[in-house]
Amino acid sequence: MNVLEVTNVSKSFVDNQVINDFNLTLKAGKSTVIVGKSGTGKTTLVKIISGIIKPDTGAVGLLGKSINNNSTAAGSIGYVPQSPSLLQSMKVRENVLLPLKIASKHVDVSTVAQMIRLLRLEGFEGYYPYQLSRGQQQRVSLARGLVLNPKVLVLDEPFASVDEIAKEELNLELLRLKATLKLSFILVTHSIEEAVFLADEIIVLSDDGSYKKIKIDFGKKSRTVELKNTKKFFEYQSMIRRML
Amino acid sequence: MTLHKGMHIVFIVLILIAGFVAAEVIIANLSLHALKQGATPIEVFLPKPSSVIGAYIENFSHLNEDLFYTLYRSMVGLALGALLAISISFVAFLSTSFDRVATPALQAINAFPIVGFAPLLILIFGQGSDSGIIFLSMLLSYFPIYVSISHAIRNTPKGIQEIAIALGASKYKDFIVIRMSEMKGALISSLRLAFPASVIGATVGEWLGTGRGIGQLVTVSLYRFEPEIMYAALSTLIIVNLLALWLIIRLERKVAPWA
Repeated sequence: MNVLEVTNVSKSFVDNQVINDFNLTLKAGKSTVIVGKSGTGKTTLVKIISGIIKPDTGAVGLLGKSINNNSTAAGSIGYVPQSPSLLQSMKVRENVLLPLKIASKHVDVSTVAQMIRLLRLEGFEGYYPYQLSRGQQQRVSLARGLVLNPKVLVLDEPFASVDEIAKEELNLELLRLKATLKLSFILVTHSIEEAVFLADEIIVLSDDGSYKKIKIDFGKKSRTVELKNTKKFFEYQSMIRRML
Repeated sequence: MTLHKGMHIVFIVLILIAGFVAAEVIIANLSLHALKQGATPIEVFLPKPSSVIGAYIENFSHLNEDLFYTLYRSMVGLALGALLAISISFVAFLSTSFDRVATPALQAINAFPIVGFAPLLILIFGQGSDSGIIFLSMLLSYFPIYVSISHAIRNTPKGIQEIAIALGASKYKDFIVIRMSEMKGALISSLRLAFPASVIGATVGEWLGTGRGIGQLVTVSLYRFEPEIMYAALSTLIIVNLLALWLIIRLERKVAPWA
């Protein structure tokens, strides 16, 4: 079943065409990772999908319905920004339930508790962001993105500012959430390794606004850190590097 | 060299005692020297600390009553200043047009020597009335609060602003749910500047004749040639300001530890 459909989306800023006739289909429980050099429109694209900016042409559809200018769709797509962007004045628990307050939805205590448990933040509920490590802050940001139980989670270079070990842990966390919650996600990254590890499909954006899609299939092999040492993993990496 | 916490207090007390003794000796000697030379002794305008303490004890209840008037006026002025600052920030956040006009206008008003307009304000509100003094106190205290909270409102993380847009939040909702929370720490921090400013406003207003208040006491003691009372009154204000600063810092650590 298709969860998300992006159809003929284009966007330009002044005379600069950033996105040109872009199409994407995301199936339930699948992941698409977008890679590309700086300035190829990766962030613009995920902001269009998240409803933060409007496309010049084209449409974004969720479960067969267009969500352009549709406020009822608010919360159906979760958004995780580049930096954790937590409110310093709020404790972890309050930061996680913030989207519920913004969307004026009933604060289900069990949902918030579940998100905190899923992201392994138990015991940190009463901490302020400044008391957490960067990796923990990013976990809070992930929990916040998931609290409205979205159909799709959109992540804009979420692990760019964390160290390699924390990044690896967060990648595994995301794959665990994908499996546990049957989560569909779209992620933007600069890291080819991260892209191959997380994606079912990779979209490589080019400077001229064109793009290519690659299916990632490791067969029955599970996505563990060991996968990164396999021949197929290296082949996928080389293929994408050549496309960039 | 690091000192134990208790040692800090002993150290400060020793410095105060040393300063007290030094001031006593220097002022007494300078006054004696001036008398011998046939000049005006320094003690006429700079009394010895012991005389100031004596004046404080002698006028204890009178000073406390005046302090109450000054603090009451400055507290009301501060509260109104905070309310004004929050209201302007709220409207400026909701309306970009208002923001474009109000922000430069407020900065321009703050550039005015407001204290210089004190006589005019007292004339407008009527001599002996609390309103003029409270208004002056409000004018001096709102600006540091406004600058601090409007900075906090504008510097909310970009990511959370994007989430609000994605969730279709109105500007009103954005202010109430997101910005108000970020404003809390800034509001408390701004009191470090706004509280002394409100006390200055009230004191200057009282100079111009209100019957009661520390400002009025300073003026009267000056006319009566009682410098020790004037110093006792001003020292009381300094102590109150330091005490308030200590309380604000404690409150900040308790309520807004991230600030």
